[in-house]
Amino acid sequence: MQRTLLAALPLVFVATPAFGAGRASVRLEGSVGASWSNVGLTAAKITEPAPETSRVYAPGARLALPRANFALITAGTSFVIGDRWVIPLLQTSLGGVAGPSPTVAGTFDGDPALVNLRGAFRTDLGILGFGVRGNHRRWSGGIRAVPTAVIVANVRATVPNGVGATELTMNTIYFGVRAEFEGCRRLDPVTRFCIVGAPSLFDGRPFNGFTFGFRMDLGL
Amino acid sequence: MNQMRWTSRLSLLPVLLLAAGGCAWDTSEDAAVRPALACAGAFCDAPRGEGSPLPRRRGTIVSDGCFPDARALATLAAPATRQIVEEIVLLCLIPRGDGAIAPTDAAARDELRRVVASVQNAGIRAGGAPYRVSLGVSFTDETGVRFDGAQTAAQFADARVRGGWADALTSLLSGPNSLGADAIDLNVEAVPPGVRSDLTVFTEDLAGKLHAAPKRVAVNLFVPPSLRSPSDLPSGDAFNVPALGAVADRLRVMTLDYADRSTGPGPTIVPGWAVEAARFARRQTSAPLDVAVPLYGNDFGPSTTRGVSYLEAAGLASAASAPPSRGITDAITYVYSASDGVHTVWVDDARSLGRTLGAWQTEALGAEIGVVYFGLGAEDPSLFSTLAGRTPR
Repeated sequence: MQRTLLAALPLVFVATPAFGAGRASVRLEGSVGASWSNVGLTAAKITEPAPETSRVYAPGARLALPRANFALITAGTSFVIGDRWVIPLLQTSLGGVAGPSPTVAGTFDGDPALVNLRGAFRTDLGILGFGVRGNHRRWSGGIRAVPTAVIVANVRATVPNGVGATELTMNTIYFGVRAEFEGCRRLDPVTRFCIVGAPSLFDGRPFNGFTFGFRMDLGL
Repeated sequence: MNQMRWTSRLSLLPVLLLAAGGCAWDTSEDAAVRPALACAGAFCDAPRGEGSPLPRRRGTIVSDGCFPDARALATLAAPATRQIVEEIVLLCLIPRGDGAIAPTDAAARDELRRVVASVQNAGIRAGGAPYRVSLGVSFTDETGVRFDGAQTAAQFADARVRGGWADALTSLLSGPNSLGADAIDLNVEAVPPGVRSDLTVFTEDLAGKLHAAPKRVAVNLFVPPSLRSPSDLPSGDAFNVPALGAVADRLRVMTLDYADRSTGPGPTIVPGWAVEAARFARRQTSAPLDVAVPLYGNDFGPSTTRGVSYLEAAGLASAASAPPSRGITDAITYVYSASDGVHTVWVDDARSLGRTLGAWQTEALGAEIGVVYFGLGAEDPSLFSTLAGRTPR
């Protein structure tokens, strides 16, 4: 579906009145912000090399992970065409687990595991999305969809090791599509302050999380 | 690790220390009809009925003895038990050095026939089909509890004795005076690796006879939880798993007593270890497999280790004012002092066994692999209702 959207993009531009009238402008926009994200994590794989344990884990064994809250700082760049069409080129987020994240019970390759997300960090990388915004005087609202890869690293799990226990460190990567809804106030001709809400249309599984935050758009 | 000593651990099962300081009577008004077992720490945890659904597996209960008592029969007649259990193994039969199988006297066999029927009917009383009943053959000496591997190996090496056992078992299971059981389970423990070929020949002979009987009788085998070849267990190489799997109806990998005197105190089962044992067995045979979970616990003393029931463990903890806690597998553990020194107890309850079975998701342990619940009567009384509540019908 994403591929179809991208293929149709040039047709949409050409069909806009601004392009037809030859008044369309294209500019590069940068953005910085912060957000709070709650997401159901997908299974993590053990970080290589595996530590010394009494177990021989199955190749590709995965640890089921719980939902978690993350605090993120974000930055990105977009093309804005005719102050209407937005093509996010690159969006990155970096952050760590925030708020209450109790140790929860999980399983790893047939063993019970105690999963501790404290200390886990997350990196999001969104590339080449598509969006549209509408303007009313100094206010604007919009929506954009951005294909995003989510990496969660340094997840720790305590598993049995003989009659004792050992700690494994794991990480996970998965791909999704984020829909961002934004409400903005223009501060000057190229600077805007936006409140952003972003349900994850698909992060490993459908409707798997929600991100809420703010963003400053800066003209470049 | 496991020394093939999963049976005969519970000979003192009737000793429930409810009176040894473990039982306290509430004096409040409504307590007249509500006696309460005093508990401490982890023993007071409510069973965890919640949690992710448990994979549905073929369930078998092993009773370490011939005659389940009234409480055990009531457990079998509970709908929750029948929901997750299909088969009951009664470890009853004992081979003798002359090729006979005990019990040999008519009165005992009549009683055994009655017990088999009673256990089968417990399934109907539970609202399901009759339980399948398998008679276990424990290759002990004539004490009925002690495995003398050298003596057993010598008996297996004698073709006359072996043949006598096979004929006697065939008669008991499929003859005109059959005991009415549906299967037989061979429980050979503590034998040296040299018994390997004789054990294989005996099993092939027995399976040939019982499979050809008018009413086919299944032949199952308890096998040790080896992780590699040559085996990491003293008796592991006595079992030619590929050959045995080719003739047996089911191999039960006895993943019990993970911690023993060689490792020091520890849990009776480590779920991941059981998964690895099952994987190793699966690489050797395509026969149906079970893994085992303990219904009992172990009391590690200064010089001996003995099996304890859940209720005995709870009573001991209470009597000794020993604060119980939970290990990484959620099994309950505590330390207490006795006249012979310091003891450490590890025992599983509904919560820890639910955790174990929950860890065995089907991607880790195939759905076709069954579970043997070992030690009927020693379990946490809430075990089967808790597990049934989490198991899809």
